[in-house]
Amino acid sequence: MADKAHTRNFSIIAHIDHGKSTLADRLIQHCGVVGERDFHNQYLDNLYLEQERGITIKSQAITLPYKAADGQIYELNLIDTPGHVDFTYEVSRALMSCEGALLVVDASQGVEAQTLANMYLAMELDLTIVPVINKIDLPSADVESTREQISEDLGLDGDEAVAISAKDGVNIPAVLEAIVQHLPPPTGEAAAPLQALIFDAQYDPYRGTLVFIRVKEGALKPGETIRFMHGGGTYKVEEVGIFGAGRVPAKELKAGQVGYVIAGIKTVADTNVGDTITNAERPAEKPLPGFKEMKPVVFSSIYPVATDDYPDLADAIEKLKLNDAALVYQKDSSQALGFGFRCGFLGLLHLEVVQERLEREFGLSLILTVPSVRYKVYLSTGEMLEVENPAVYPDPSTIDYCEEPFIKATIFMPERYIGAVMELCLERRGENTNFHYPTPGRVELSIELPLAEVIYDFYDKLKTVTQGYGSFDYELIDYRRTDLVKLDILVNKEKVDALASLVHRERARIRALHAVNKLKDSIPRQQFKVPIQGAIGGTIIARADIGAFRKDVTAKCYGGDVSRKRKLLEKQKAGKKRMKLVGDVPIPQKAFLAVLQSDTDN
Amino acid sequence: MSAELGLYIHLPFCPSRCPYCDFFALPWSSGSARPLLAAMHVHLERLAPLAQGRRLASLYLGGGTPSMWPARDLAGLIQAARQRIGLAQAAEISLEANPGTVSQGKLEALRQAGVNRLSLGAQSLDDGLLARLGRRHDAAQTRRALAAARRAGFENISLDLIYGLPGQSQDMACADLARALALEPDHLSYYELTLGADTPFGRLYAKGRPPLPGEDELADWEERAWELVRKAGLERYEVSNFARPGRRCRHNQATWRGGDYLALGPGAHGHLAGVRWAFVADARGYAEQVRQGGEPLAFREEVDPRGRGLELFMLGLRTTEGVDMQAVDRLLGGGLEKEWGAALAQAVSLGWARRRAGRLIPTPRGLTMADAAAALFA
Ligand SMILES: Nc1nc2c(ncn2[C@@H]2O[C@H](COP(=O)(O)OP(=O)(O)OP(=O)(O)O)[C@@H](O)[C@H]2O)c(=O)[nH]1
Ligand code: SF4
Ligand SMILES: [Mg+2]
Repeated sequence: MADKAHTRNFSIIAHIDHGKSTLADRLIQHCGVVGERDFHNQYLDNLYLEQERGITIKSQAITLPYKAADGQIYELNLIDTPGHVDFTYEVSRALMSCEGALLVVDASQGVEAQTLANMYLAMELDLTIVPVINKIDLPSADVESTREQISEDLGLDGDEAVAISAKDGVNIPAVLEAIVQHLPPPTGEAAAPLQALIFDAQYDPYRGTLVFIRVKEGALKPGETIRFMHGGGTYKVEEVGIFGAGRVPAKELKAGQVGYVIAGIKTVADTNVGDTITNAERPAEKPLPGFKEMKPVVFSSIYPVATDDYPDLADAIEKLKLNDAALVYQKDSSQALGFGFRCGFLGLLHLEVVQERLEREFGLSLILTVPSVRYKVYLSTGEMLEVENPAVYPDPSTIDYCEEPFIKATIFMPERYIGAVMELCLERRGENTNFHYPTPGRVELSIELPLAEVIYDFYDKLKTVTQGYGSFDYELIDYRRTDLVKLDILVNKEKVDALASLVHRERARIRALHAVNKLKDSIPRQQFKVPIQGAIGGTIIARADIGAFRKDVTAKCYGGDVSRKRKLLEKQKAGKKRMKLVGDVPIPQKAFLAVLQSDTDN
Repeated sequence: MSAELGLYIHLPFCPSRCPYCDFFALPWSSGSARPLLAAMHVHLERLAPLAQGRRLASLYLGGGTPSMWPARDLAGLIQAARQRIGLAQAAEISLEANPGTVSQGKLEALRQAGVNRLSLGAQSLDDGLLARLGRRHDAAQTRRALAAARRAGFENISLDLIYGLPGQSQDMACADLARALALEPDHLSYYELTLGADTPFGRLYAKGRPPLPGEDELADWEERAWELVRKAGLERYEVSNFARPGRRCRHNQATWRGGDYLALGPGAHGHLAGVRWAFVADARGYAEQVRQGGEPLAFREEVDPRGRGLELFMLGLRTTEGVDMQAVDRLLGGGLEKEWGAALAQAVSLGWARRRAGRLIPTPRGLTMADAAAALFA
């Protein structure tokens, strides 16, 4: 095992899609960790969902043995981090496990919002940063201007940046040399009391939870008893090891190393990213700094399309939770949709990931309610309630005032889009705008926005109005007073509880119109006229009617049609059983989906 | 009554394929027509015992465009049915014919061969619309064919008409209908355009969306159309079928009452006391299998009593004579009310049907909602 002087712990950070995972692949291949036959692209993204969507959602690690130009063997620990704003905290913990970072910048896109955000994050944690310019093979690559941006926008040495093509494997050895030469070796004393930082955890059905750690101080070996300094649990270590091509058990892990611990921990939820592991018998004085409990910020209820699939959903969520500590849930029920779960997510991407996994890995068809944030509702009695579920929104007459969470958004874009982006932000109730011009032609806009306005489709819209050139990052700042209302949607005069939402009064009408029109288009005609209404309390603010059926008959039915038609009737009946009835109107799943999916055509 | 037996013969060839058609129809090729005809004769002989001594009350030559076959081939099939199974007294023998495939001489030969009901696929009497429908004939040919058939002695002539066509307005549709009624047919099949998913029309158009008329519009003009038809002395007896007294299609009526009918030819469907089957919709495959002594089945199912009851509601609610509830009750061994009491009450309370003398009879509104009405019994 390498000594500290021959160890480097590093991360790759970048704006989304600038080529982190591709570079990681090349480094892995160059160091020959994985045989050519077993190699596949995006090697570290071994959650299938990551491979399919091409984005990284969990941190991963791998140890690369590297024979440097000086003839010596180094142990390079690469930690791949998620590249999405929903997972900023996880990124920060992964970074904290490193001494340095490669900052990848796409030569055709230049510096973007998350390039900056991630760099600041790395700098806060005192990491040494080596810039890498990627995608130089692209015809639109502009290496020189990217160097300038690195110098001017980032304050790094643009001339030192290694210019590579991760895709074509150009200049990869230079990256490895830069890691060895420019990044510092780890510090820490193997003899000191144990302090190991948890930067991720993964569930293994045979071994329980696999905890990913960076040993900062001390050492850890099988047989020892460990304690989570924040979480409080104590466990007996069964196995420690490093990440090669798969898990490689080791005798011990010492200060400076990155690896895993298996200690009979039942679920991932028993571990907290950012927690410190110490030795229960010889504990460290205090945990490593910067621990935060991950709090969900986006909430939505998940229901099975077929009510009788609830047990399957319950089972699936429980299994997902094993591997996703950030997911929180509790049982929920709706008159329209039956039993389901109220779930909390780190952000909208996290929500989508959970939804997709439930649908694909567990084969469920789901209905998700409108995502909501957590509001603070102050009652006239002086009491404060935290409300993220419209179903428990108190009677408005008892409410003194409400507050909603605000974020500070940083939007990075070419100057020409500023008008369109400002319009979007103001429509979303943005305030306290600040412009910053890091380089000519580029603008960094910082603006405060209600979180509720961005969790829906803000990012999609931003991409649209900037033709893909706008990038976005945010952090939660505070709670502010808001004029909150509960918007009800009624079908045939009956409230559809699953479609209720909490919205700002000014935005209620637009939301209501969107919902009633979507419903009108997706609920089949009935024997009677069906009014679809949006209402705040007793006041109707939007309405659309579905006209009664005038006719429902097939023109032809002869001897050759009988079997098919009978079977169709029987099939329709089975389909109807799965439909939700509200006010005597069967509402097909696609109607819920149409309303809940997106707000884009307002 | 359901002891009556029919025979449906499917002749799949057509002069060309119409873009809205979702029948089993093939462009004519004598290379496959000859062996097919030979196979059908063999097949007929083999399946004759299914009649169990019953004679045919009706024989229906459908397609496709059966009228494009030489008259002697058609006559040969009718003759074979007569010999192998037997025809009842005054059996109804129908032939589907397209204007433009029937000359005076041919019509006379067919009449001679026993055909006594002719169903003319006019589709429209508007040449512009006919062209858009991809039909080869024009309105003048329809008129000539009808006159020729009358001269040949046909006393039961039906016209097929389609409405709800792309670009057709209410006035255009009514004018078209009036032109057809002026020809004084004995029977009218008046169909709303059906969009088969796998047809060029089905891919091009969506129901209720321009250039097709909207649902409400269509409902309005149907009311107008039925009034015109009624005034012309034709009575509505099924969703899309109208006839002068005594000129209803007996073969189809038997089908709608859940009656028995044998099948011959590729793509033909048959029914005997709850057993339904169809032959493969493949002229070559059909002929080949028959030649090798096999049964060219596409499917065969034994429908359980509840399924048969559902069929009776589904079919009967499309006809003005309605459903024979005693027959349904017998099928279920006396379980009608238990199984369908609620559905019956609902059909009545929605104003879609009335119960009278052991029958469930659809109202005019019920006929317009026949699919929804049938769904109550599913
Ligand atoms: N032309 C070219 N394309 C590249 C290069 N490197 C990466 N790409 C492409 O850029 C896209 C994004 O690459 P990834 O490696 O998945 O990016 P990432 O930064 O890991 O993305 P996230 O994990 O979602 O943050 C992929 O389509 C790659 O094939 C390169 O050197 N040249
Ligand atoms: S003539 Fe009739 S059966 Fe033949 S293709 Fe046209 S519509 Fe179909
Ligand atoms: Mg990636």
